[in-house]
Amino acid sequence: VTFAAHGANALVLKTEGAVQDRSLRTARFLWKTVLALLVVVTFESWHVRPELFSGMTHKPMAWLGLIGVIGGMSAAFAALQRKRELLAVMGSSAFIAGLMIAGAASVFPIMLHSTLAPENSISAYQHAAAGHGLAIALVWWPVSLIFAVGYFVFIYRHYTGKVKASADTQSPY
Amino acid sequence: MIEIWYAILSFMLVMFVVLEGLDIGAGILQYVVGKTDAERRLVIAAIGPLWSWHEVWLVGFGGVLFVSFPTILAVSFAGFYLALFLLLWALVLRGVSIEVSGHLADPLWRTAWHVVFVASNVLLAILIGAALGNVVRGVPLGADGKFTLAFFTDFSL
Repeated sequence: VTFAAHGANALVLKTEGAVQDRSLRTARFLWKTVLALLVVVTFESWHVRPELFSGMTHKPMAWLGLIGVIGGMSAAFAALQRKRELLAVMGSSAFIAGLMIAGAASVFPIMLHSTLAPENSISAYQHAAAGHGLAIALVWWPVSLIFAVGYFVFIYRHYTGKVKASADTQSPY
Repeated sequence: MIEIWYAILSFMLVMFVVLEGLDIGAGILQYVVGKTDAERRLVIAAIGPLWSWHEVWLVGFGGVLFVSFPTILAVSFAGFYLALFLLLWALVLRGVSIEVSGHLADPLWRTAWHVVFVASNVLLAILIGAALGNVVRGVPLGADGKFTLAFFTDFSL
């Protein structure tokens, strides 16, 4: 449902006319559903792993994620009401990123939790690659990231604005 | 060092889910917001130049996981074997449906590929959601560092 709401925001941004109108109506409905489901999923997560929520209080990154969740959802709601298309997409992106950052910060250092016995869980500290390899990888990774981010910026600037079916790059018709 | 690589790994996954989420969501809604064939093509045009690029972040995530936490890669890929294959199938079918549907003049075939497009996006959303849910909930990991589930999750609490 969250992906559908996020995608509806993207369609509001990229399209116009009847498709945009329907996407806007759908986005407004779906974000209300996401809000309701967020409460349910948060309660379920607390029921399954209560220690994640208690551990959150000691982790600044988890707080950053929570700010993203609350700020992103607020921005998405406000932007859809005022039809501020780009802000709506930024808001839904911040919401999803916030959820994931809060989750990643909460579970750390346990990367794969065992439901059978806590001692079977896989920890990042015990199962990371050798330190020398990680140090070398820190040299090549920023280079790769520069290429990835550079192309990311280029492609988004190149394809900015509204789309038309005739400009569909995946289809000749 | 380990914290840095965990942060890098999380960053790659966040980028993939946020960007791919746009494509998956738009794909799920293709028949909701597109009532005519031209409108449905408009939905594909909206994600057309970007969807394949967004998948690069998944490749990057896999590469970082392989380099930094190879044990977790091995254990999770073995345990989530069927789910990962379904994910690959959904990604392949989504790509094929985008490419092929516009090249067919026959309305029946074009509709069939549009349905495949929507179905693969729905499947992707379910699989990614279930994978993230399993990470939070945990898996039946034994002392030997292995686990298997009947499907890939039992969806229970």
